[in-house]
Amino acid sequence: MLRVAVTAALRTVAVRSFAQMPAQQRVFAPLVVSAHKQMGQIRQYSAKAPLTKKTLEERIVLVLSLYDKIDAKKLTLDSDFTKDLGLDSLDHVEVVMAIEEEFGFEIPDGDADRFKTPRDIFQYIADKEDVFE
Amino acid sequence: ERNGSILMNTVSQRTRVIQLYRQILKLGKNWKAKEEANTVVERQQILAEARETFREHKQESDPITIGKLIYRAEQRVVQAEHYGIPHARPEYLPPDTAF
Repeated sequence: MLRVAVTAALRTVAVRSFAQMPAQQRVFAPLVVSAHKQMGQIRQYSAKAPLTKKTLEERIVLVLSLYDKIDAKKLTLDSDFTKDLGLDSLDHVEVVMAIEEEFGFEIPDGDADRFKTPRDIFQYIADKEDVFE
Repeated sequence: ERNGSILMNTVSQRTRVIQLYRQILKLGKNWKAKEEANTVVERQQILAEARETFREHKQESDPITIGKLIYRAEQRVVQAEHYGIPHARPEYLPPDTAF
């Protein structure tokens, strides 16, 4: 987006200055226009942000605390979803889906069933994403 | 076939309900309406209806009733995907009515 905006701005400036210039100088004006071409292509690589145990934990706790039925005050890594946080199996599905969206991969039903506490999720993602430190 | 889901045992019924809930939520999150402008609204409708209806029958314990509800959910999913409409298809219309 920035690149598009800069190019557009340069183009308007160039056109405007071209119009204001006396006729003799106009011959050279296209040099100004070509300036934006020299910026060249910007390649943008996208990759997942690197995970550490600390960021992983923070992201899990954040996602969970944003779920409207979880009381953020009661939430710790070891609180039980059913007993401590009062979630039922349908909430569990939604929580797991929110985690999938956050970390960008699917968690099969069989694995998701075994999540009893946030720490289980933490351990599962750490294993899958090779988070060791 | 039609009664397949009605005759399941209670354990697999529970699993099936959870699968369906997940499937419908995913359907809702990736839903594309026939008219693009409606996509956001229809997504919200699907998610809201699923959350409300599943919770409404949370305490259901009779396997026959649960089986019927599972069947209804499966039917709705197929209809939504086939016709591209998130609403229940009115039953009083003849089966071959263009919708």
